[in-house]
Amino acid sequence: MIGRLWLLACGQVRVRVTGASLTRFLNLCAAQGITLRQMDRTAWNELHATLSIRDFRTLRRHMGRTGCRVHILRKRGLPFLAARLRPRTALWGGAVFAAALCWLLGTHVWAIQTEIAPAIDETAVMQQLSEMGVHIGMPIKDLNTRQIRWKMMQLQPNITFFSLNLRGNSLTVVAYGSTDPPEVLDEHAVTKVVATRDGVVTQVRALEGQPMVQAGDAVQTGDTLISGLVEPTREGGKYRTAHAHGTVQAYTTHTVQAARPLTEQSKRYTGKIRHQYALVMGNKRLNFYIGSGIAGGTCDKIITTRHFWLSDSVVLPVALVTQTYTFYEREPTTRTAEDVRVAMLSRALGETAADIDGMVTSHSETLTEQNGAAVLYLTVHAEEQIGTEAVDDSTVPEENAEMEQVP
Amino acid sequence: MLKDNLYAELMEDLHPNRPRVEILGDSRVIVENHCGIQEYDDSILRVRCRGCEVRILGADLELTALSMDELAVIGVISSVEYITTE
Repeated sequence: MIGRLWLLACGQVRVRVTGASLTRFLNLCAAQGITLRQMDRTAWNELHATLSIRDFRTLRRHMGRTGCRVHILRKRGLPFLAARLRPRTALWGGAVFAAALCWLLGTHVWAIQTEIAPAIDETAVMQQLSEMGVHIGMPIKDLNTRQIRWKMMQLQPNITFFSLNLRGNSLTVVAYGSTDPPEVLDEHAVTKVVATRDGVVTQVRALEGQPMVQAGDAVQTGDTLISGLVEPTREGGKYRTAHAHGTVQAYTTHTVQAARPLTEQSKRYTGKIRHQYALVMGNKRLNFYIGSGIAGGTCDKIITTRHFWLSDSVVLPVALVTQTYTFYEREPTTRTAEDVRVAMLSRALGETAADIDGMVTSHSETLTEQNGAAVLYLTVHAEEQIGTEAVDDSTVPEENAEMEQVP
Repeated sequence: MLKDNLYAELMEDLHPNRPRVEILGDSRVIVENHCGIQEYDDSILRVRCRGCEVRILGADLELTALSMDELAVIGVISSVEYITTE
């Protein structure tokens, strides 16, 4: 089969030989080294045979000696095909362009994707890669992944894993990092638990330290709830210091004030839509519109970028950018306080509840209209954990007494 | 001694002046080291060789390959004759 393909590539001619002296023709071919294939004796004075172009040219030089006539029946092979297609310049140009495009697609990076952990600054990583020469349109042969990985690990110490994966002409940057270790708690430090907000204590759970309040006590922000100074438990005993910790539940009250204007500008779309297109090749942009792409006035501008992928690993070096302008008119809308009440209340309640380390028990609101705006006063009652640890700088009372006695 | 026999056999096989006729069943004959075709027909093919002539008789004889050194014939072969001319 390979031999047949090779013969077709070189070109073959099917001829009809007619004459009385076919044997002389055959002997001449044998003597001149002309190879005849697929010979078919169709009549006593007629023979069909296939020979190569080179052999046919040799035969033509010695035709007169054979006493036979040779007529070409068919021409097959690549040389004849090329001669037929030679006037078709667009075809040849297209073939050259396709070959050039294949070369361009396969030898340069045309897409960079990232899989970077949130703990790592992606912008800084891409900036550093750009300084190292990694960018869209770079030749693949210039991509030294080992050297880039080594440099990146030096520049970003918090990266524990870094990799550049090249698939087709698409490069994927993968980076994972370590998270900051939690702050080490000094368990030997003397601390106390203080209140973070005002409230009425409902429950005290002192895991360590001396509770200073009990259920029903009203406390203010900063009050000591659990002290790190523990009183002696027996007569004659001594105070001791401790790392106080525990939880203190209390009823608290949160007040929130929110305002929203009652007269707003709303959008009324006119139905007019305009599109602008641009082609991005690598880092170059070709706009198919006149003027700037800055949207002047009242319209929404939506930009979509579409990449063209030949497969999941080969991307074309062009991207189509579509800018869509949807025009609208502003018209004033007047609403009443009751119209905005639900939205304001849900938003204020949601924000307040997010700050509460506990449960909302009830709430009350007042909505008024003031100077063309709806003003919401929201009071939220909650039961939450209000204790937080702080450094306890209180001193032992016995030491204080000794110090006073010394002149 | 064995080597000498093999050498002699090989030289005899590769001798350029001696015709070599290969017959495959009754359908194909290959003649090597020929000196040309004397007669070519459906029923007879006479091939001239050095010092002899090979005559192939049969029906529907067709030359499938022909070169300076060898030729191949297919068809229904009834006989292959070897005629010494010297």
